[in-house]
Amino acid sequence: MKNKIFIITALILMTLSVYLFKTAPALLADKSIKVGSQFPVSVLFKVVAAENAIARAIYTSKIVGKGKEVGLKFSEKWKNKTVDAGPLPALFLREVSQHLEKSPVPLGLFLGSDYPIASTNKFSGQQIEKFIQLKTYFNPAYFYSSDIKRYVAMFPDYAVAEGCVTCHNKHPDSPKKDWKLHDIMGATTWLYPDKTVSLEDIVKATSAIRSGILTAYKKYLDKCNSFQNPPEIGDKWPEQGYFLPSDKTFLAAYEKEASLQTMKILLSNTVHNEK
Amino acid sequence: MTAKAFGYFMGLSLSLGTVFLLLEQDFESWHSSGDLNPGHEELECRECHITSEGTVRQQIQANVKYYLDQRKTENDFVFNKINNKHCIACHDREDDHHPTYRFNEPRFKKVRELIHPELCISCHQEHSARRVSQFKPTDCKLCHKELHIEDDSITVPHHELIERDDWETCLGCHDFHGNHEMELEKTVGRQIKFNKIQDYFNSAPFPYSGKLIHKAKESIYEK
Repeated sequence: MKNKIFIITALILMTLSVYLFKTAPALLADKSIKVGSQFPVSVLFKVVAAENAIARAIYTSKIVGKGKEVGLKFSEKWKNKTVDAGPLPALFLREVSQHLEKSPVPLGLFLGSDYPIASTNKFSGQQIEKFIQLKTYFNPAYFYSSDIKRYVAMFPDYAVAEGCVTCHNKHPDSPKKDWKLHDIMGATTWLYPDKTVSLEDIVKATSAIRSGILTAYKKYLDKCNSFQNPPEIGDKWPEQGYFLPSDKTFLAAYEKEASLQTMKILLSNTVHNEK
Repeated sequence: MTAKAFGYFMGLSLSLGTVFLLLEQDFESWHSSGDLNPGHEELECRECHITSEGTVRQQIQANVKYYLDQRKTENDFVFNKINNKHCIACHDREDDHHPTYRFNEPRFKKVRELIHPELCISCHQEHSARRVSQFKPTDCKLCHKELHIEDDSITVPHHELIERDDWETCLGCHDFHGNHEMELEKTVGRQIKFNKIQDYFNSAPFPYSGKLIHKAKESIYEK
């Protein structure tokens, strides 16, 4: 009897092996296999954080800062139909973050602080520990969040323009009123699921963040078109008057700076890889 | 044919017939794991249960390889596992006040352990015949323990209500996903009562005033 069971089991397994492996159709692609040069995920984080920081700096100083001087308004309630205003820099980032979530790239982005205007953006737990470390050593903090299976990076978010300081110091809900230019006001937190990434992954993530920045800026321009007194949109910037750069002009200015920075990060890490 | 063989033949024929019948679209509800949630009653199974990549044979092959450690990722079997993207395909909203991805931030770890707000199905478990199946109205307290609004226009400021622990839920005045065009109630005591919210969670019509801002798509295949 035992022999019989053994023979039947062996036959079933043999048939299954032939069915699954010998005569089987083409293998389904394993999407986790990466082709080409491999980089630690920190390189991807450095690239997207630099791209985002450049866009934020341009938006904060050249659009919000200079825009306010010529009469453009920026508000937390910018989406309200009756408010003729654009997004504040933190809300601009939220639009980028929202776009990333909808893209197929598994990259997450959040903005927080130890003294945020909205208390829901206040760091706690592991993030506040890493943020303190970041403020002490001025270096990005990296860690792994096991429950969501994501690698995490936190990059400092500096007060890059006088506008950041005055707005946060004057805001009635701000818990801190003595911010100074170049202070670390908070941090961007980035998530990605893989420990190592290919060059293609980095390119896709960069493309996703650029697309997010462009989408966020286009939303602002769309809102401007509904203003009672819309600014002229074209190739001029607010420093030249009541103007706004078109999406193409904005993107060109941003890409000029960001592409150089991204290439620098990639090359410096490729050299390290070769060593 | 003997009576025994006839019995086997009939049994086999009936079983196969039943299986084929159940596979027919008109009989999908017969093998559903429960009644659909309010608003989803008219949906066909294929709206959520989307065939996964490859043939069944390829899927078994990929998963056997995965269990033999010859492959890094599992492959979904027959249907794709339900995830947030399936829900967002119809319920995507520009200004969701609590988008699920927000809860992936590391600082929400404790809340994730308790109620998994990072997944749509944690609150809206399908086939439960309820609008909100698992989230309790009092769960707002898991995140909103601290709130200070300078320009607070309600009759008793939010921070006072929190300090006195004189509140049960935010949902008496605020809609979780912010999808109703409504004036916020400013008089404490006149908010929507707890049992009405619970009824809404079950299947009653929404208690909030105003129209829906974003209407969900009726099909994921709708453009």
